[in-house]
Amino acid sequence: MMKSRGWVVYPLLIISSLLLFFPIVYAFLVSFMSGTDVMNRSFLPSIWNWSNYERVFETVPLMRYLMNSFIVSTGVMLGQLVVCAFAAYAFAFIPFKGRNAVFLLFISTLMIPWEAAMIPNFLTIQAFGWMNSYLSMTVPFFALAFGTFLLRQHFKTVPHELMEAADIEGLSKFATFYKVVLPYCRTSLVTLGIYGFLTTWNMYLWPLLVTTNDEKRTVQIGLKQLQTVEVATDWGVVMAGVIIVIIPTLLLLFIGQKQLQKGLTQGALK
Amino acid sequence: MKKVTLSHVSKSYDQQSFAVDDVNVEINPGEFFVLVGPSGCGKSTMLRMIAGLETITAGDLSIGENRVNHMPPSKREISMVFQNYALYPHLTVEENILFGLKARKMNKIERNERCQEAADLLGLTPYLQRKPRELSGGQRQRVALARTVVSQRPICLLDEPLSNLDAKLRGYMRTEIRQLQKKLGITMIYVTHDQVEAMTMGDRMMVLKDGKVQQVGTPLSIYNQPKNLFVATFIGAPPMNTLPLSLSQDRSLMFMNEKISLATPVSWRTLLNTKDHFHLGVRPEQVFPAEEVLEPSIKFDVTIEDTEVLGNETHFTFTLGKATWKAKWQGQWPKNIGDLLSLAVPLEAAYLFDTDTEEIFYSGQVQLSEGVQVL
Ligand SMILES: Nc1ncnc2c1ncn2[C@@H]1O[C@H](COP(=O)(O)OP(=O)(O)OP(=O)(O)O)[C@@H](O)[C@H]1O
Ligand SMILES: [Mg+2]
Repeated sequence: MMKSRGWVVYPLLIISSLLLFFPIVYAFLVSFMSGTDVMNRSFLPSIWNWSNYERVFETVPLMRYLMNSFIVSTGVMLGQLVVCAFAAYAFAFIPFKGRNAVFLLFISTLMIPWEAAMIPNFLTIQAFGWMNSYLSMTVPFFALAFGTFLLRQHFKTVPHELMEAADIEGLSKFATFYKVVLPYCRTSLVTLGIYGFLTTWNMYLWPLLVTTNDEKRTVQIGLKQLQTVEVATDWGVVMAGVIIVIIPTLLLLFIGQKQLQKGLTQGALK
Repeated sequence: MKKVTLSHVSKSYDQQSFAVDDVNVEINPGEFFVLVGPSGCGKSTMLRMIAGLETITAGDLSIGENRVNHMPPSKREISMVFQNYALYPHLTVEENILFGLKARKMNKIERNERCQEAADLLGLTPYLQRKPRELSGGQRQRVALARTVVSQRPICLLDEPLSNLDAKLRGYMRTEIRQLQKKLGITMIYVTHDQVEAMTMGDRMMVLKDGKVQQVGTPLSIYNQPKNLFVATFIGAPPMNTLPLSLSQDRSLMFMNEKISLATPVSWRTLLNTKDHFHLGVRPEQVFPAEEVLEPSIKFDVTIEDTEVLGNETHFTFTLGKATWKAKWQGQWPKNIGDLLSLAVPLEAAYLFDTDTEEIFYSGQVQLSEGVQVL
């Protein structure tokens, strides 16, 4: 029974993983091809060379873009963690009048697409004079309904006794928050952190709107530029750029996954 | 060392009923005080009020000479052990033990000294670097106790600390906690729903029911002189046998039901002058084979409905009137279900309870105070 199921499941899994991976694998291969290889639609590069990678650094300030993306993504990640954790703490532990109503209101903002709020946000940012600054790309994303929800749900599973024991030992509310609640919910924090980092790293439209020069641009826009600055797009160079840009993403996933697994197996103590 | 005083302490969660109702008690320094009662009777609520984790609806709570109703838990000089241990899963055993001392900013040398001492005392030294999830239940509970030890606070509150452990370990930890308390000389206030724990561990115990105090006293005094029907049947295993009886006009007969009656012992007749009904209570170990009882007694014949032989003692179950009774005899008795037994209860082993108030009004053994007649 198990064996026959394996024969069905594994080929299916292998096929779907190949389908999913194909674009990335092909991008990797293309990044080593010369122009003629690309034109001939060959699958493997005839000669493996690094020239595309050299060219990509020459044509656009890729290091600058990477650095900007890194700063912005890290900023958003940290900001989200701090803001969401505080908000979630309030929603989970501080009883105040109308808490559920406020929480529902908060959650309902999940149903408003970010794009719908883009114009008003843009005008606000402009009025603040935050164009072409890191602030415009980070601060609007700090308050995240999804993140608050995620953390609140986890905070609610912290056993009361842990907090009461801390209370008896004389820890302040804030000390309880960062010595008991946060470590207990590390898994959710890591999840949210990775989620925040990756979504910001991959953001395209908003950074395009609020930046007008290379000084503050992020990599996703840089990639787009690779396609337009040349008369005929050199796909080898573009793909070299793509590979460089996804490396940090993959790294983060691999590291994060380990952390996540650790967090999950740690589990709650009954 | 400070005593803990509760005077007229009440707690209501819903402003309609009381979870704890007008409790008055004084818990002495160095005492092992047990709160016992069935589930939902308000034991945890009372303990949590003493800890300061729950507000007090009415009444005064004092520790030492000070009224502490509004004092935050950390200022009350108490430590607490919870049912599910409340260990921090992300900290090692050592960090768990030292958690409170670190919060109090104690210096490192003294901290480690105390940790070492506590670990030695409770046999935790080999496990100091482990995480709580790598320990057995008993070891976890010992870590929780170690936290109390290092805190060196004079009052320790425990809320059913052994209920997650298996029977054997529970028995072992009972003695361990008891010895620890004697060694440290601290006051322990211990909540349990298990009357065996209450009987074996407590210097004094308080029996609670529906938020009301039923009786306070030493385990033996409560066992020997229960104040009412509830206490009598709650304390002791198997519980005390009870039987509702109604009296004939001239008080000479006691009816179990319409047909079956017993002769009222002569010495009880004046005592029962004013009653129509009462409850008779007898501990299972006081129900003897009829031929062994020479002193004045109540005698009856029954059919065995069930027997349990427990090695050194035998339990018989039988029906008397509408009640199911048990007799507990020493030794192994080869009797079968359906056999007839002639039984006798010495008069001085009987407890008589008022049917309406459920209060005790006569006990053969001891002289009762407070409006109880003794013949
Ligand atoms: N936070 C609360 N809100 C409302 N009612 C409560 C709360 N805590 C306890 N109660 C009620 O108060 C009564 C006493 O509860 P308590 O927890 O003190 O019982 P307990 O004696 O500790 O029982 P157990 O042996 O089951 O732990 C119960 O009827 C319970 O439903
Ligand atoms: Mg309880």
